[in-house]
Amino acid sequence: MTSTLKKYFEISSIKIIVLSFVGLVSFVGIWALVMVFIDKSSILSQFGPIDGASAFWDLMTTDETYIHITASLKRIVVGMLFAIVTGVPLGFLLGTIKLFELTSTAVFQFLRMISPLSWTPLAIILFGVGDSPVYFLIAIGAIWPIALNTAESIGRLNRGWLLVSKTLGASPFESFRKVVWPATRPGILLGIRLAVGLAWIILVPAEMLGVDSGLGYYILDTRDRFEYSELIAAIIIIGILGLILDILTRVLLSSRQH
Amino acid sequence: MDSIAVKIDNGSKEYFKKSNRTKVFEDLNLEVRNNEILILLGPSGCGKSTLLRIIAKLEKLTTGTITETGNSQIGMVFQEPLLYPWLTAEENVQLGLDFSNNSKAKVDNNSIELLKEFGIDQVANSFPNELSGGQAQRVTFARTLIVDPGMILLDEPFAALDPNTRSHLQDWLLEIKEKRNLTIVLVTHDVEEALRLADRIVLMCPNPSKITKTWDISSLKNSGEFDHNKIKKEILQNYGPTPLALEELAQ
Repeated sequence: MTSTLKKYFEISSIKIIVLSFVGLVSFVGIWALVMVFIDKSSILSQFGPIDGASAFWDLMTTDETYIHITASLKRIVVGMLFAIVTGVPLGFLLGTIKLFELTSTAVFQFLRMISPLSWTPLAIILFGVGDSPVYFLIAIGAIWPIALNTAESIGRLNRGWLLVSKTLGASPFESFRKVVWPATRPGILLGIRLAVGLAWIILVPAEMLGVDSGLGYYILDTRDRFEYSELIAAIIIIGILGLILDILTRVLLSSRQH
Repeated sequence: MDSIAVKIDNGSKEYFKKSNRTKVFEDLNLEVRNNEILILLGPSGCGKSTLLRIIAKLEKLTTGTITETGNSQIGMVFQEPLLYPWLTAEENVQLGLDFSNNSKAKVDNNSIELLKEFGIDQVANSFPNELSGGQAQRVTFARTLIVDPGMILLDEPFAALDPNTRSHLQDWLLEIKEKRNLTIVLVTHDVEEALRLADRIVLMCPNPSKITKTWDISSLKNSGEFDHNKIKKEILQNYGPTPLALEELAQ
């Protein structure tokens, strides 16, 4: 989106940062304004940005917060690894074997449309309580964007490029390494980026089931302790970490493409 | 007699798809002589490109034999430049040597020399989408020639270019052919291009695909019997009833 803005409106990076900041401040301002009209005796009055910001700073200075953050990030990494290890080969099979694509597309589209959280009971029966069902739920949600984007990038591969590598004397492995992989990498990386966003969304509700750490668990914990300002702070942490994760995946997974 | 680089005897090619059998050509005999430019000329669908891919070993004959003398590599240039868009012009050129497991220093030196020789060193760091059609096709030639092939196969390499660039690159092709002692097989449906570049012209026609006639242009030129208009007329008369051929013949 940022690059699109820059391209079509010729806006400099500094202007984009300033505009983003103005948008963020306006959002908090409107939020604070709405809170002014809420009755102080209502529970809702504890969900304001000022209480949330104060609780946020308190949380950031306690070790417990980092234990929850680390637990959540570990689950994202492990779940994503499972999704990548299965999703990329699956995408290659879908993209290269027509019969496999034809026989499996309906099944995969069906599975893709099932909310990952619907698998929770099955995940707990299969893996018990703890981290394993969370890994499973993240992987089952994240696998589809990776597999489908990989398959699509294989479909878009110019077959002429393979003919050229063959005439230049490349072995099948060299053709894969020097032609197929770089040609399909942008599609695969896009799939991984989409999957990371999805995994982060799945993580929080998945951590509300049978685990005793992580940001999802922490949300439930603050609710049980009636610490609503901490709940808002936890939501802010989840939002900030999601944003950082998205920026990091964009930077780390960006590929040189022309 | 000139030595033979490639010889096809009684070659036929068929494609099988489901229960359909499509015959591209049958009982085809063809010789490619060393250090000549052989033009495969003919309208679309006469099997020229298939024949080229068979010589390049990208496809096999259904029946018949193909004999290649000499061990030199065969390079191929397609109608589209087919440059890899994630690589710069220089990296595209280096790729051929990468596949031959050459050292990095040798790869760097050879590619820079070749880019200079082909007058495209100033675009060495440009990506394919930043190159003009002529520059892109020169980079493609450099990528093909960096492995020093004895023979190159060209599948309508100038068809997508504007007339000026095409004419310029045709002259340039003749230059590099002489300089590098290349054997060239070029597919085209452009009669003027064929007459300008050829040592020999092989005319093919479709339905059923076969070789209609062969002209030894070099011999005609050497004996002083080459008459451009007469041969063009002969070619067009044998070309088949395509609108372009009929129009040119009428003129």
